[in-house]
Amino acid sequence: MQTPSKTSDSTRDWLRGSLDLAVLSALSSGEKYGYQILAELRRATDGRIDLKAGTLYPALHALEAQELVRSRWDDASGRDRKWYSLTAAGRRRLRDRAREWLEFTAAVRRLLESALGGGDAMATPPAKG
Amino acid sequence: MSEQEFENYLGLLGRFLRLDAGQREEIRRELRAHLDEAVEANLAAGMSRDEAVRQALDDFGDAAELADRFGKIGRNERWFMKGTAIAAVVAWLGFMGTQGLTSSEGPQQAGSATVAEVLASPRSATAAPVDKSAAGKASEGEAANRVPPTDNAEVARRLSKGVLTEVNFNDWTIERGIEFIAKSVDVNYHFMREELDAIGADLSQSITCNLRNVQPEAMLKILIAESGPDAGVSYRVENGILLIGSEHGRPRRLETRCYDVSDLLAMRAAVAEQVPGGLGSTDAREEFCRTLRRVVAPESWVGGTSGVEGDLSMFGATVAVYQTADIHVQVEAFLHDLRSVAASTTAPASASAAR
Repeated sequence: MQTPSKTSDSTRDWLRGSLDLAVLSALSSGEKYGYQILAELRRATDGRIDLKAGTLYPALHALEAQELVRSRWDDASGRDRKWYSLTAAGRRRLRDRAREWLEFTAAVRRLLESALGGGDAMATPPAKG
Repeated sequence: MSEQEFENYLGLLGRFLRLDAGQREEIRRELRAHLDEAVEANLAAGMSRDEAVRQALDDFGDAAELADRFGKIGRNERWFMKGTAIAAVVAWLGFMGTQGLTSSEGPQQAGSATVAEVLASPRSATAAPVDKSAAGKASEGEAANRVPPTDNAEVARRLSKGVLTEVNFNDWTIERGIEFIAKSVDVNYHFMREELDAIGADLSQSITCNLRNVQPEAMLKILIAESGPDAGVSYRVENGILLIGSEHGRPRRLETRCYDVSDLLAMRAAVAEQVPGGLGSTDAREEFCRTLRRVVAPESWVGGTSGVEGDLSMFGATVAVYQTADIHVQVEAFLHDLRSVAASTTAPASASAAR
């Protein structure tokens, strides 16, 4: 796809493992339809998570198959839309996975900070002798 | 135009997904709603209608990827097959995913989409590839004496020449009665549940019947008649197995029809030139045959599981398809879809430069 996306390659790699988590998060504030979920992810991440619809919908359907989200059709908004919301299991999964993710990223952060020499680990190699 | 293009896009996507009709309709409806929403947002952002449509389809992502991902939800490997079918077609067309659909006001494709059905002579030039294995099940009568590996003839012989010395069905189900017959003459049997369900056949009805020295086949017919005169239950022998299914599920007569696909081949060649590195060295004609097999009723070709053993081969730019009438209809629909999408996709190369 030649359209430059705001999602960089490395972001995409990280996202791969946390796509479900991102989608569940977007639903945590309430029922949404697909288009809104994409918008919410973009908004909340300053455009860093900019999913394709072609990625989102299959993910939603997979989450629904696992009963982590449920869906219903409704056209009360003036347009026929399929609304998704978290199930209790989805909420639990979000909480658990989010905790794991935060712990993991906190650890990675410490690792990177020391690598970047925020401390003195990467400063100068200790002089010999 | 855009309306038509959405429909083309979704239609082709739906075909590739090979989901059951209900799921397909549901997904289609959902994606449709999304595209509408996206186009509206793009219009609100000040794009022209053309741009808005193209952008929406671009943002939508790769059709192949989409289909592939949908293909991975639960279930079994049938889904995987679906994924590969898409990959094959998309690779063959070489563009769908990367360019999305352009939205030219260009020529309406409807007129050009008619399938050129050159001739329809049963068993003409295509006889060669077809004969080898299609004969057995396709037309029982003529093929019976040259059935290749299976023992259909032997099964038929046991059913017609055998004798059931004693039949005592006291409040048995029809199904149990059929099993009894098959076991008595020692033939493999199988109930085609999908076929039976499709016609709402009920083989659990109770029967009582006491007979002596009956021909197994006659007994089988009696039992099947017990399921109701118009129930549509039927039996057949395939690959040496006695199958209980529906009248409709019977292998029907296969016929050869030829389709001129020179336009699709030419289009593919044109696309290949535009794709950096080309589309690989695969023979486009061979590839086309493979694609057709994978996308249209994959189980209905030689070696498939449906009992229909169709075949196809290419002569120049004409593909000769040996299939049942209803699968011919699917072939036509597939070619039609390809042409519709292709027509709108290949239209103006300048479109992508527009934004």
